[in-house]
Amino acid sequence: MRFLSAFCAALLLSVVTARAADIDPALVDAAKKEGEVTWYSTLIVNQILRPMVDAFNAKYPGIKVNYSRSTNSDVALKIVNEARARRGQADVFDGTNSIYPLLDAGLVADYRPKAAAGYPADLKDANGMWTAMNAFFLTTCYNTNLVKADEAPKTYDDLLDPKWKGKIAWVNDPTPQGPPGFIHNILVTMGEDKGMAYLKKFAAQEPVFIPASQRVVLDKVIAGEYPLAVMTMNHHAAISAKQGAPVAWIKMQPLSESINLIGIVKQAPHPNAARLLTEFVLSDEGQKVLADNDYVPVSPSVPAKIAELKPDAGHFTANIVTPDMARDDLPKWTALYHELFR
Amino acid sequence: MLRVSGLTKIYANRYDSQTGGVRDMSFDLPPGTFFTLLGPSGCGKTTTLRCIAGLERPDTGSIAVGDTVLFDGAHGIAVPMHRRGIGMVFQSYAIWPHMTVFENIAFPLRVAKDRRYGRQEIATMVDEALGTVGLSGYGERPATRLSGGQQQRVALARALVHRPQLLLLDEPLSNLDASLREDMRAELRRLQQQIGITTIYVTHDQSEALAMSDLIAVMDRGRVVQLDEPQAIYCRPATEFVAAFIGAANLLSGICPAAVQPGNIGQFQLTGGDLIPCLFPTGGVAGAAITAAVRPESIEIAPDGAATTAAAGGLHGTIRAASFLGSNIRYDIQTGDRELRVTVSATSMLPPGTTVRLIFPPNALVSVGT
Amino acid sequence: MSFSGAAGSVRWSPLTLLRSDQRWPIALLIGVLLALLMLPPLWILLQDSVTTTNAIGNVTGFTLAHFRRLVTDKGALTSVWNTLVFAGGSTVLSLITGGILAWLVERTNAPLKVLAYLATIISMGTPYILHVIAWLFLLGKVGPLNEGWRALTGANGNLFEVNSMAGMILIEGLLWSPLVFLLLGATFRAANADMEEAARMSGATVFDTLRRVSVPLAMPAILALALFVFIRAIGGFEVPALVGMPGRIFVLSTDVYEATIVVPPDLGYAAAFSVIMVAIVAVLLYFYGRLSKNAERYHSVTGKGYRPRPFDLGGWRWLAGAIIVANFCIVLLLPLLTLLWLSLLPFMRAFSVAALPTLTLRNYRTVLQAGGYLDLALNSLTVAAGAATAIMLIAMLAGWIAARRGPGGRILDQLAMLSLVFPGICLGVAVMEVYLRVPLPIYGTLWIIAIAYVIRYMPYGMRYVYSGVLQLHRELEEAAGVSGASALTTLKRVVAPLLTPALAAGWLFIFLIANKELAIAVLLASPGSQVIAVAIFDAWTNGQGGELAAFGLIWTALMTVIAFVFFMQMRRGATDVYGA
Repeated sequence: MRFLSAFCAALLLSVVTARAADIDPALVDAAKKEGEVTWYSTLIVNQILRPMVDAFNAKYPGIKVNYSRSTNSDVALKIVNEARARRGQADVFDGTNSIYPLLDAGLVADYRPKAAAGYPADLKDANGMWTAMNAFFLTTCYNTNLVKADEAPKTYDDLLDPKWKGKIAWVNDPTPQGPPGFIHNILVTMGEDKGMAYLKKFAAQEPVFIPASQRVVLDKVIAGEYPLAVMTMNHHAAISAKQGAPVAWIKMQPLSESINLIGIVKQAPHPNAARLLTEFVLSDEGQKVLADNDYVPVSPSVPAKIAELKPDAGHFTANIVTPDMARDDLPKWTALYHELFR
Repeated sequence: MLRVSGLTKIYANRYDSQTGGVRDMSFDLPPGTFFTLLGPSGCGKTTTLRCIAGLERPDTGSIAVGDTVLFDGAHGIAVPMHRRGIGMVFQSYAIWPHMTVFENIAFPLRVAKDRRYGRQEIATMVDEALGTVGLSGYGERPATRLSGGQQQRVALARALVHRPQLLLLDEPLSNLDASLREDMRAELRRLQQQIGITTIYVTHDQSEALAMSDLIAVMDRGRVVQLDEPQAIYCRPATEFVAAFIGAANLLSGICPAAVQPGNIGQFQLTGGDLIPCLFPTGGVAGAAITAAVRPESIEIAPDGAATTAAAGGLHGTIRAASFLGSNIRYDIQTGDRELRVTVSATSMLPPGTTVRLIFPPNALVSVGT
Repeated sequence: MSFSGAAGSVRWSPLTLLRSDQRWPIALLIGVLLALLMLPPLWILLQDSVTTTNAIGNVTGFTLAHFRRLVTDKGALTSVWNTLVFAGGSTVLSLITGGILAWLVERTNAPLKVLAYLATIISMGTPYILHVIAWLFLLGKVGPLNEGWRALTGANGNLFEVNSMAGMILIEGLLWSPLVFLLLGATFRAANADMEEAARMSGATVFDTLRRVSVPLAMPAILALALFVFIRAIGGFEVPALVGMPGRIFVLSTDVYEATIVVPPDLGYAAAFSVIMVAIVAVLLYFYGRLSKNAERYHSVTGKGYRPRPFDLGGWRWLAGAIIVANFCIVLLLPLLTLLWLSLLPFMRAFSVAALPTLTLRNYRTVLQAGGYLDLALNSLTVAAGAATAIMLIAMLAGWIAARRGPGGRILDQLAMLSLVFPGICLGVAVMEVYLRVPLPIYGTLWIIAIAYVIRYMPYGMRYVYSGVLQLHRELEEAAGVSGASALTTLKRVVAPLLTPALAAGWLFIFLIANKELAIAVLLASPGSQVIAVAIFDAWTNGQGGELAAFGLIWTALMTVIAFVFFMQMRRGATDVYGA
């Protein structure tokens, strides 16, 4: 088994090096001339942003990557404010939903990365405004010390068991990665009527808000403060379980899939470097950096470090929330969230 | 030298209904005068001083030192305090704790705008000032390691070091203990006379005022009620207030039986009918109700029935209380329906209950305004 | 000096005014500077609250919809009420704990005083969020308190539900307790010991003296401080967010936060909430101004030597010592031990023997090996030091003029205190908008963070200077003026040196809390201008509790060393100024 995975990795590496050659040398030259690129990210610096930048710099030493990390809303706010003041700094941005205000404001450049040519259609925009760079699969997890595997809920209906009342934690994140995504998933899966009925029953279970991130919610489950949490990320649970934490994730189908998008700012000060960076992130080489750092890559040709975290290898289904869906319906989901759960 | 006229500064005090300040203050001092503003707290003496120093801005009036106008409300002239060239000693001394004695005293020279003092010059002048106040050799001490009396001397040296034309002293002795206060009082006066500097001294202590001053202005509720030499203030108080404030005067009420020219001695008729000789500094109108003041030490007593000259007049009285004060004896003597305080030099003490005759020398009684 | 009575009788012209008081130019300069700093963000906030904007953020029209939403929103009134209860409760708690400690340490012969200072200095250097995390863990569902109770009684539930109003008040109160200790300590130190001794001589017990003399004398200062803490608690974010929200207790600041994290951020709604906070705080500030003015009458240091004598507690000394030790444990030791525990764990779990074999230094290795922390630390220290210096310079001038009722003093005071009304996140947004419009290369550099810090912490600097000036006998300045020193010379050679202890204390305080600032730094940080708070934010949102604790402890240690060195210098400086 170990040998096999090593073999796969070696194989992959050769593929990657082959692919890398595809990059247009003219783009590389133009990018090198610009010399730097600025990335407004929502990704965790130590965990993935810096490794990704380091990998990029190893490949293109002449191009300095400036990066700053903040929340989705701050990334959007900064780019919008900079554009209004005509003092644009950002070239590249990412985020699960930072893009909507930018699309509304017409601040996103269209670019169809070559590296994403093989990606499924729902992972890239038809107009070239964005491409998915990594995915989050949101599901239910539980503390294995507090809940035996056979007692753990298997389906959404199991969550309505009275014994879980007040014991289910979730994140207080008004994005598709939080309650609005849960609401969307239920409504899509069960249909409007049954879905609404389910949500009302779920609200009666009084799930507890944790005002932080999905990771913090998971930590509270690990610490035993809550036996169960919904809308947590499966890779977080898998990583912690590997380190010995008493936690497991449930394939409560369909999972909710949320994608982190990368895009280029219109009137970016360094458009070529921005394209080069985007190409790199989406290339198998860049995707491999994600996988190595325990994130879930979207490229079909790059498996996750723990393979079963992805639907194909893990044999589960997931409802994806595309930016278009979120843009149209997020206000509705958010309103429902406030109405039912606040 | 210093001319103040029509000085008015009123502030409405928000915490109680009284209004403080000074009203229509005027005086003119010859050079070298030791001038004292005397009065109870809140009478406006400190306000006057602060107006002269430039710490307060008067509402109206004018202040001039020699030919230099420091303030003139009508012409919009107001020289800021740091350009007035005045020396001042504060009640709290205001010695800067972060400087040495030397630096405290050198400060006025270091910040002087009209001329630059060299290092050597400053050292000489500060040493001289230290010598003047009797603190030679204290220069390098931290200001925090001084006794109250020493701080006071440093404050004085600081006020004098740049040789001002005018020295202002705001109750400088009030924070010292009694014996030190006596010494400093004499020394201050000696220094002032030695330097010949025009000085304004603010105090509520009448003995200080009487002992040191060339001129005293007694103030009450923002106004000067009497401006005169110490002796005149003491002997011929212009009002009941002055009489009461300067020493514990006995006040008698009665009428003026016959008209008296100003400055002459006439008769004062007590409400009981007895006649006593009385000085009328401002004259007397026949039949007018008047008040007269008499100092306790101006009254003589004689054993009742002893031979006395009829001209001296006099009242019968009974000793109610006697207290031995060291250099003299104080009697409280009942006469008619009033009680008089009398002090006589300590020889032999008469016991309470003794009946005595009170004798008033011609200048003892002074008619006062109200 | 005083123009109060002069209005009617003196012909007024700008020139005579200028001549009459040389502080006018300074007041004017500082006033303009403060106005330029303080007013634009406020203007932006007000504008945001009553306008609609298009996608790019340009103003498209006037609206009252944000306020209408506030009024109709069922939760808004509850939030206002919760805010008042939360702020009031934590103020009272911090006053009681900090006040008792301050009195014991400053006015009595209680033993182990050094522990109180130690607790204060170290906890001042610890980011709030670490305190909160530690307390959440200690008092949480699986924390030692509830676990212990369950183990003792065999019960199933919790002894104390931390995600409640009581939990919020408890934790916030403990957060503010060191500040109260510090500021009330200054008041007690300056109070006249004679009055307490006179009471003791009259036969009063220690308790009677405290109740009838010490506390009433310090009351104006206590009330002023209470309002100050109350106002800051209204804007407090960490505790309401981490402690209150999971218990569904919402306050104004969490409402603002929620409005800013949706995409796109609902700045209009957030601004409307902020305007409500501004209104509440403005009313409170009015009273605060009146109170702190009255506080003046109660203490002053004259030019004379001054050594307050401590109170002899007699047999109660050891109880006092026990209180000091308890405070040390609660404010410092327990949270730090908790953080140490968390930092050694591979993942969050309760105190237990079973967890001992899993302890690891991995988190420390991660922190120390991760590149970039050094740069961030340097950036942080530079910005915080720069901001603290700028604030103390401006505050020295403004505070001096205000405390001495100088020209425009009230306006200066109000301008400097204005930013108290901003919750951090609103100020961050407003400052960003302002400096994007200004044609100066400030946006995207460390300068904008420094400016935001200056705005945010100006009130603290102002308070330090103000009370410092009030403690200086005014004759010390007047003596300089009469000696021929101009206002500037007086400031430079008399006021500034005598204020050194207050200036240094204010500087250190601002330096420490600026390094804790989260909301502003995260919002204004650009590539190349990152500060340490961003790393804390990263670790927090990512749930790297262990790494955060490890990093937090290292950072706290650094801050403590800085504070300690500074404190020692300051003590020496104070000795130089005031004598031993």
